[in-house]
Amino acid sequence: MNPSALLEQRRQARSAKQLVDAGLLDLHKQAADALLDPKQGKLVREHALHQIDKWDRGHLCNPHYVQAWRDILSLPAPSIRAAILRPDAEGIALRQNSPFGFLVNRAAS
Amino acid sequence: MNRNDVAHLLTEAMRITKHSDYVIIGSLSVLGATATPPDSMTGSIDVDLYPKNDPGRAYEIAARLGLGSDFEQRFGYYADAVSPMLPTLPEGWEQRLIKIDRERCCRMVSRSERRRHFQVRPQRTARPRMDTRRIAGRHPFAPNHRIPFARNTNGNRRDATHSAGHRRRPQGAWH
Repeated sequence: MNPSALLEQRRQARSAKQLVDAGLLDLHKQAADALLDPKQGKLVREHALHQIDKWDRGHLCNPHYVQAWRDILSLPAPSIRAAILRPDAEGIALRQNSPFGFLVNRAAS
Repeated sequence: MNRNDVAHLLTEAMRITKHSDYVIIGSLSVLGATATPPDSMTGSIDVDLYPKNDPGRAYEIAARLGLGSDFEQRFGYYADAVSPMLPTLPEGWEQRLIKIDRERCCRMVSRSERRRHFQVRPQRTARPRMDTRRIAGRHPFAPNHRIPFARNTNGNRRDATHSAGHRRRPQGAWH
């Protein structure tokens, strides 16, 4: 493969990855909105905590992320959005290990 | 996550694509080098992967086994599609891939997944045991030694002859 074709494929791969990351950020914006919603907030929080418990029981996820998500979900409403959408590396890693997968289909529809 | 979890995911991926060889990149690739890395190295719930001979189908796998899929909701981890062009790796990395035998992993999965997901394992109840400190000088399991006040581990009085000769399996124990 010639170098320019290789570089083009790399560009495409990185664009695809950026799209996935953007989708993940959108999902968490929706999760933050849902958590702050007076009607569905409690249900969304319980569902997320259920998923975190599953990670904990099965030793699936780093205990650091398990605790971080539990801490976030116990925050008062005004702080929760900023904690979920924090833009630093820790925030990106947290969103990669997300308990809000159950909202994906809702986000798509 | 461990090799069993990854093998479980790959078994499902194989059902979808009919491909048997997958490349795993990212943090969980350490499971190729060792089956028991430190927990801190395997703490991700997303498996970055692609089929070795058909990388484009990684997105098909992610659609079925990715974040938000029934698989992810049920088991708590998911497949994340990546392109082989995404990572920048040293020359010759493909020749240095570590091959893990799927057959062996799948056999392990079938046992562990059955236990973990499809069966409720009853709690093992403690068997009553004689307190051997109270019968020093005699073999604790010798038959027909009548020691009226031998006690089990709960501190209750127990007839030693009865407990040595008629050990009952506790109800609901797993053997």
